[in-house]
Amino acid sequence: MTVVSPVFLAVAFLAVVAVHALRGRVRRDLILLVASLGFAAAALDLISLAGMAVFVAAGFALLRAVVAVRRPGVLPAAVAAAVTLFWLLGENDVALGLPRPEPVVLLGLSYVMFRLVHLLVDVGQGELTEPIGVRGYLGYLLFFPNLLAGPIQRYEHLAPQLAEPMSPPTEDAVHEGMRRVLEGAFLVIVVAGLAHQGFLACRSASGGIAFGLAALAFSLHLYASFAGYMGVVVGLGRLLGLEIPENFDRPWLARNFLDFWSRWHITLSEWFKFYLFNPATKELLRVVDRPAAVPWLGAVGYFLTFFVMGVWHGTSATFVAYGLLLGLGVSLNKAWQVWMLQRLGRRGYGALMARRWYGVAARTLALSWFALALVLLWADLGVVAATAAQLGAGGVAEAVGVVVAAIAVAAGIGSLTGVGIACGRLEAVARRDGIVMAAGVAQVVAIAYYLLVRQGDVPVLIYQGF
Amino acid sequence: MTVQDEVMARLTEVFRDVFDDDELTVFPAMTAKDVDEWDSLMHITLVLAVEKEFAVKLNAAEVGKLENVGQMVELLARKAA
Repeated sequence: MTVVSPVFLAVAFLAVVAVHALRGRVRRDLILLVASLGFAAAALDLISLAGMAVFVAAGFALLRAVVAVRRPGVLPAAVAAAVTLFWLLGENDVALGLPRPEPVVLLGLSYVMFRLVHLLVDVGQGELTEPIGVRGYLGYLLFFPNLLAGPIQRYEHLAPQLAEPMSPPTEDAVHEGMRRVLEGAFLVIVVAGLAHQGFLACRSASGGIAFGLAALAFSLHLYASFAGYMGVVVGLGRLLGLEIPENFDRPWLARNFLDFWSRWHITLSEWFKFYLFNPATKELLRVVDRPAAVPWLGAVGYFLTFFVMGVWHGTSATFVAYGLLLGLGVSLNKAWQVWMLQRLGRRGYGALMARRWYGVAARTLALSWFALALVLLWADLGVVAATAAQLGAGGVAEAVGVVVAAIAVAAGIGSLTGVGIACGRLEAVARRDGIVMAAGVAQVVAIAYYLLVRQGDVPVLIYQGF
Repeated sequence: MTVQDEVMARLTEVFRDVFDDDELTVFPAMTAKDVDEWDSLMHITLVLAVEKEFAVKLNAAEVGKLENVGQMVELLARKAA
């Protein structure tokens, strides 16, 4: 299932037509609830659907319990039950009582779990006070644009919008919505498709350089696939008269590995910050209560958060290693900041960060670390170990070298003042209507060429299966 | 002096103490982006200091959303009322 598959596009089209055609007669939240249930039924295979139904029903019972029994311990128990059920459904083929010939991926279940935990915590802590009935619960949890791979939109952001009466569409909203959908489709189909083909070609070639190129191509494919998905979702939201939060903010501009996470999969980072990093770090700091220990306790908090975020992708040894790499990256980053501040002071460190070479080096390190960690999403630990043994130290150095060198060159060019100015001008020119139209036509032509002439595949966004 | 003004004055002291900067001026439109050192970790230190000064306990959503001084003042004024 992708956002450019016929089922998604058909449901999206019908939903947009219905909310506008029935404006003032049928409530938008009802129309979208019907669309969401229809989409889940049509898009999910039987096992995903069964898993989703079990999880959503159990989630509602837990939510009711949290509201009804206001006692300490109920909320943590409800959250633990939700996460355990999610884990059982995702990892254990016995839980559903269905025969599974091979490991089956439950589409979209992760994102439903994230939304449910948010509801449980915020209802349980008295932050969300309005009663949430079955209709509101299903309409939020299963909202079809966000169903498969997020964004994790907060209830208080989406629910009031859904409840508002639909107003007539403005020309700007339609224009912007269509532009985002088309641009997203172009990224998902053409850019991600070509990058994925390049990735497959490099992966099957031998040698360290090919392996490094595969890592770069996979990163580009993942970005185009995910950011394109988000473009379609945000654009569709505009056409439905709704604001859906962005998940990406030019991640290639990240100043360091910590900053990267405020630019990549933003709503997931926010969720982990709200429900894991903040409470865990707060508790650590409260218990230890020694100012000198704060930075180091912080590094522990960062490590824990990113380790769990890595393990969320799956609990096999490969994903544990992925979690360790992410956790190590952020805690090293934090430790470096603390050390630099101690050594250079606030002014000195600020001056260092303002240096162009330092900026390029920090960005290169952050992006390379991520691209290399992502290898674990396409090659499991056994494959990585076997490849490393086969390549030898020289080959591994070549692979890492290609990744770092390519990113360093891109970061170096990007940091040149002239490039920034030229990009700014290009963007200003591109904002003119005529150019936007021309770009749109070019995207349509590219999509048609890719699908019809080249008969290219559209890669599936792997995040919907985590 | 309104409740908000009083909260703001006490909050300024907390900020100066946490960020170790006696000249730090706190204003309603200020957000985490305006202070270099205001990162996720500093935010937690700040939240603990605010909880102590105002004798309140902030829930997960409140902690998460308080990267904006204006919102923080409103929330604390509401809790004090």
